[in-house]
Amino acid sequence: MAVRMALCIMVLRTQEPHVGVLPAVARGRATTVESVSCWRHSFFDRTTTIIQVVMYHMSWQTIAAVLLLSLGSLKMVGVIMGWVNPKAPGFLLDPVMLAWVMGVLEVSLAVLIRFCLPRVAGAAVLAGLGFVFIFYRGVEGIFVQPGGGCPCLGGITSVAPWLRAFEQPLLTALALFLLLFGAWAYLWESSFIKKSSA
Amino acid sequence: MGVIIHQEIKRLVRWRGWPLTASLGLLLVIALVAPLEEGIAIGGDDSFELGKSLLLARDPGLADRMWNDQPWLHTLLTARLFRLLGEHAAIPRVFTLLSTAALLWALWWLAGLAFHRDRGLGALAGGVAGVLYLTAPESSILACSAMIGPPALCWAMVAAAIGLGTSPNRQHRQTLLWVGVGGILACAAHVKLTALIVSPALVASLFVGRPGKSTLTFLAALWGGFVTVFVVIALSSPSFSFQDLWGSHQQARSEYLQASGQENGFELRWLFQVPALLAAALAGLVVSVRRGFSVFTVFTICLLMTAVCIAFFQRPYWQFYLLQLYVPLSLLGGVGMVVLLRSALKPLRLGASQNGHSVSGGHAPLVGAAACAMVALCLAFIPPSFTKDLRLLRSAPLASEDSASLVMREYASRTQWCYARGYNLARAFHAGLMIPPELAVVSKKRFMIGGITEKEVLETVKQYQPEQLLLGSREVQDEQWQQWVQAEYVLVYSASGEQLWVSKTLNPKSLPEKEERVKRFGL
Repeated sequence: MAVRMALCIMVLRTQEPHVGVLPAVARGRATTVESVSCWRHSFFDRTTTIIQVVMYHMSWQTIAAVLLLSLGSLKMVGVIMGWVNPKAPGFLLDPVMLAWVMGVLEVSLAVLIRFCLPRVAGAAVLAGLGFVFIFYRGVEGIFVQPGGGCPCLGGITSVAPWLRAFEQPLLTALALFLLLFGAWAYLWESSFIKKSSA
Repeated sequence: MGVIIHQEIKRLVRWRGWPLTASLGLLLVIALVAPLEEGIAIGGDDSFELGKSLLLARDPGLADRMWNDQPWLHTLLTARLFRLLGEHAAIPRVFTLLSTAALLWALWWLAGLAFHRDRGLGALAGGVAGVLYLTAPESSILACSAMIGPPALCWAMVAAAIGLGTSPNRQHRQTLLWVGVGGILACAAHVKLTALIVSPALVASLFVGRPGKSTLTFLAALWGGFVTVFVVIALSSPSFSFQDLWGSHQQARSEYLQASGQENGFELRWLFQVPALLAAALAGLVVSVRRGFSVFTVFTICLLMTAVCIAFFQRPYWQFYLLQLYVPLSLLGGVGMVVLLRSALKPLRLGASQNGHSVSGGHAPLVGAAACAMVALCLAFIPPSFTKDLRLLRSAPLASEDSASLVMREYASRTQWCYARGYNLARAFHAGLMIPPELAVVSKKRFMIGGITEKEVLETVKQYQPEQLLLGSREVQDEQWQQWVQAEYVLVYSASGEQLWVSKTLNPKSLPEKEERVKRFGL
């Protein structure tokens, strides 16, 4: 029971401000029904698992941070495990160095978006990152010679060769996702600000 | 006047047929890109149908001598059209395109069943389903081929859409409707028996939302219509044998399983090519199941389960069978995509208008992420694979530019029979040449089930003494073939391991020796 309660409070402390009891009350946005419903699901209703509650109330920042953290970690793990080919031709930077830089950058952005930046700014940063990624994909030919490859997936294709056939569209999909999700989050957050100021 | 025009424009904008028109427009683009008349072969088994139809168009009596493991309806129809309009490869290909257009209508109509309250959304989901189907890998190529699998599936889906989507007021009219549905399904099964994969889903959805008595009446009507039309077509076909139509495929399946184990089976990696379709279908599946057991849900899930079972148990499973999976996945995908996008956009509108209430329930970010991921997957995966298919279609080898076909045409007027196999059958068709009917279908499966041997092929060819022989690499390397052709034929064309031999009775010009050719170029 104690663990369940602790988890419940944890969930409520990290969720959207307009849903949970504590942060919501603090910001004056939640309705009573909503808050009670959340408590009921996460604490009293034993048919609902805590994972379901976490998933249900996951903020967009958490989703974005998990994705960026995964991408950044993948690059760093790729370097440590030797998946990134250090002799890949044609990079302006050494491929290993590039993977490190990009990995650290993505992890930092994950932390910034999740914990530091204001919500609207975080959404804008996410969309901007997506835009830059798409731009990079468009002009990749300038930086990378044909066959040079890109350490964007941390060289994971060397251990999962089946992924190679889908690597390019997968990277495009990732870039588009960051842009679209950032734009969606920006619009969503902006709609609250407009309402509050009105 | 201005008000009336304004109203008309408004009505036009709100017209529910736009999504269907858009998917039909995409089909039109595919049709315009494809070389329907001049393309030598489009899709895997295109050449078999062209060859068989040509034989029946010239002499319907040849059907008795033909080995055919498929129903006759498509071949007979094409042969009749060949006699009426001329022997054009475009005729069966346009038929497949029209069948695909009918399928797009069926998808549009069936998707509407998922949205009883909002017909506009249903129409949109149907249009999206059509686009998802057409842009799936190889789907656009198969929509332009003369193969029998795609039109059979299309007409079976049309039967299902008519049955499930229309509800006449009176009971007896609805009974008549189900008789008609059974008839259309029988026609589709006579194009290819694979059309019957729709029948379990159709029967299962008959049991949803109807009183038991009328369900049994409609089931009897469906069965009656099906059996009547099936028997009539079977009796009017040149031959009808369950052994050829069903038994041979089962025999081939067991032979394949014995010979090659798990080879020639369904490969999961094929599905990795369509992550957008899969993601959308997953969303559609969740949405449909959460809405309860409606006709749409039962039909699509049963169809999907049937297609999945076939994928796992059918051997050999060729890649073009994936169309059977694409149809239910597209239907679910259309619904999933529309619902998910609407759910993701809704909080953006409500957020500003509803005093900061939890616009989302808490799941709005998750829904937003899912919708963005789906759109990103669609934009990243669909355009490259679709444009690749369009490029393949556009660059299909043309008969008018194919050296072998041009040489074959030179001797066509003095040729009665020609021997060719596989892809070369289509070259023979474009040159207007008939294949010996016993050899019109020499497929891998026929060898596998012991329907023919290489020796029998050679003996049959010797019996017919064809004026032209277009030999593939197998025959070129075979000593028996080489001994025989060198004695009675003259080599007139050779390229990429293929050789065209013309009978000495036609006094053909032989292919110049290598040294002579070099001399001609002044080298």
